[in-house]
Amino acid sequence: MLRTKLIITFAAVISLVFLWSYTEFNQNEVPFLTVSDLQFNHNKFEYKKFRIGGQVEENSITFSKDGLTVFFSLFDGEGSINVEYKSAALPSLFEENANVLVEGKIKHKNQIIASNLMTKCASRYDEENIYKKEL
Amino acid sequence: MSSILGFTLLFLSLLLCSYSILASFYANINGYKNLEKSSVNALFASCITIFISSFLLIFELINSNFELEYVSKYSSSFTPLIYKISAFWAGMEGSMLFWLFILSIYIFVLILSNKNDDYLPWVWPVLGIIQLFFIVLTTFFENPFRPALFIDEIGGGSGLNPLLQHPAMLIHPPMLYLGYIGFSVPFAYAVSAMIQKKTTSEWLLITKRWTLFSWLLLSVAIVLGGRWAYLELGWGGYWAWDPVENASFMPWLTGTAYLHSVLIEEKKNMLKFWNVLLIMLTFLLTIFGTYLTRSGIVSSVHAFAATDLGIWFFYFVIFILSSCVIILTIRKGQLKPSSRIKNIFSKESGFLFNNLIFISLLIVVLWGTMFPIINEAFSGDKITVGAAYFNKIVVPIGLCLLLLMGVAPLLAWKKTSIKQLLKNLRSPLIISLLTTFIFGFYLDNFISYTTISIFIIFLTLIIILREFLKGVRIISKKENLSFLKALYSLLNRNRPRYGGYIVHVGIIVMLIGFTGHAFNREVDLSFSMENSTQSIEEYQFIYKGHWIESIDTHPIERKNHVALVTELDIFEDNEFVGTLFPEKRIYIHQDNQQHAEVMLISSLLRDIYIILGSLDESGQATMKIRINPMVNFVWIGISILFLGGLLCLDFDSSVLRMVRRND
Repeated sequence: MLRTKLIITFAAVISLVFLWSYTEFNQNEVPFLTVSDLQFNHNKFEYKKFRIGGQVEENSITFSKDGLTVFFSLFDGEGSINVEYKSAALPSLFEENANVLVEGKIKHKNQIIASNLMTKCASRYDEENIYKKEL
Repeated sequence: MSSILGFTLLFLSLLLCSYSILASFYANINGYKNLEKSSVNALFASCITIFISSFLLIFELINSNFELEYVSKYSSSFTPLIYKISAFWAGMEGSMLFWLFILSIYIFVLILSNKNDDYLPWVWPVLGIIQLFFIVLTTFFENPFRPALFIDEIGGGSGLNPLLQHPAMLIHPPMLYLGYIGFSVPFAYAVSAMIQKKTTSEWLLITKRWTLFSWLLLSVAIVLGGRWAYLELGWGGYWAWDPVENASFMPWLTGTAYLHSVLIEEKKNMLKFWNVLLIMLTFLLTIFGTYLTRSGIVSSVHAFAATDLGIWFFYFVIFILSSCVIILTIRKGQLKPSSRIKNIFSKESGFLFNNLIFISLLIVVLWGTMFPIINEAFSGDKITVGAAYFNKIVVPIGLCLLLLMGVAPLLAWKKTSIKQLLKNLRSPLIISLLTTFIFGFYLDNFISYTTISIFIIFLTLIIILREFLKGVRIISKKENLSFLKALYSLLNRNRPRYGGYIVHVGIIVMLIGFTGHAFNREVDLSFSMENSTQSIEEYQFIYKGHWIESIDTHPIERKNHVALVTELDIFEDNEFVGTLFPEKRIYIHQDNQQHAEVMLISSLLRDIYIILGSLDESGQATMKIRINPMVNFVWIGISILFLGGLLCLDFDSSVLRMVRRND
């Protein structure tokens, strides 16, 4: 008797946990987008957090007067978009032509406000590096 | 030369291990005792050749033999000696050989311990198959003895990534591996027990120390990884729900459940199916975790470059999974308990719910880690999920778990009378509620995760304290001993129990640390010139100046980098707290890679955490400053947990023999 009740309780709890994981995941999901996604569908992504990867365009890095905000242009192989990132500390490998991953939200059609900036760890034998050289 | 030697050694271990497995199978099926001995000897020899290969790699690393591709990739003439050695596990190929090395140590120890139990005949081939998998990987796919295509003449070697040049690099990966791989032994015993239909709880008792030892090291290794990230990576946190972090956390979840669940089988011969399931899951998750980390299918701070290795790991995981499912299905009938749970308010029931909660946590973490990968495999869309997903679910479930942990000592075997339970709960409950109310008043928020945590912290600590006091008082009276002597006697008498309480205290202390996290403050500050001041609430920071240090000014400390150094005076509530020197290092021999050193002023109640952001020619400096309340409780907590674990490990083995006789 108790055993049956326990089995039912367990099955119910596990199902609820799956359901909870599923819904919470969907609500917190961060999609990977491209520059074209953002430029043509920018209304769809307004207020939503997303990630975008690409290269820091040459000669595009500038700083605010107090040095706390960096501005640069991100090129993902197809298009470019401006990124604004406020943070005192930038990732170690951040420089022109670096492969970066930006996480943030859209400000206007052509501007991302980044909440997070990551650089990909490059090693000499990394395939991504080879891609970078070709670009 | 060494390339050929290394390859030969690995190939030799391949032959020995394969022979051992085949001989074991044949011997077990036909009962040939001499063949069985031969298979164990072959396994032993295989371990020896693996040891020699490992020492060879270390030797080549120390001697900077750049003829080996692995050595030139992960070491350099400039790398300090200890980091040359740690390069063994820094890269993909080396880390696979390292896995093999640790596994071989365990097999070696098991063989030398000269045990004589009935499970061993099938334990050897199971361990052999695991060893074989990694031998095949290192011999044919990720061979650390591959010769270099071109030898870097000048200086030689890429050098170890500066982020990895930290003492934790010497401890965290080895400890993690020792923890992970240690679970292979109880797993092998479980499989052996299932194959032979020997499903008494004897295999649990034999492997109890292995389980405890592995669990303890895995727990410490995980938190040590967090501490390392905290000290090195500069984002101010210690856990990001990064896929590779999760890869180590998942086997810990099932491993902890297993550790607790076996106590029930020992005492009451129940939860037998759970125990086999849990150890199988734990082992599976260690291999799966290695797969996640090594295959490149997840992007992470830990990520090694993507390799073809992934598919082989995937096949191995499927192989283990299918074998386990088949074994469990066929032998299900052997795992019936002696009795069923009679009452929901019992220790038995408590452990059952414990398993349920751990499995729930596993589901949540597994989903968050794997769904992005599965989604991408099917739809091609890349998605990711941040810490928010994990925290939203893990925090409430985790708090339920800790509440259960807190009240567990009050549960009795078979059935706890509600009257007794309430009587025992009364004072801890009142004190905890009162304290929580006071905190709630002070924080201006009565019901939040913070106050619930505080409630659980106090409830658990009071109940455990009472258990200790009760025990000490009884012994003190009975044997007329002083408090301290009685305490010592108490701890000595029942090490697993009181060691366990101490481990729980450690967890609760860590919870204090986690609770403080909600009150973190992070601000970016810009100092335009020397002697400028900035403040964050009660903290003031005065920027005193900047300069450069290099090998010219500091030939020893700055041997492989140039440092941009700043000086910062820190005041808290107008009192001088200390001076920090936030610096940024430029590794001149490694492509001018930059790295900002984390600077800390630590006290029990908070860390002041500072990173130098940028320093320009005009002397303008930007810094990221974090105030992390209670964070040191996390490290204190894991230390307490470790000590408690040591006490448990030291349990009296005469008890073991006695129980075994009764079985």
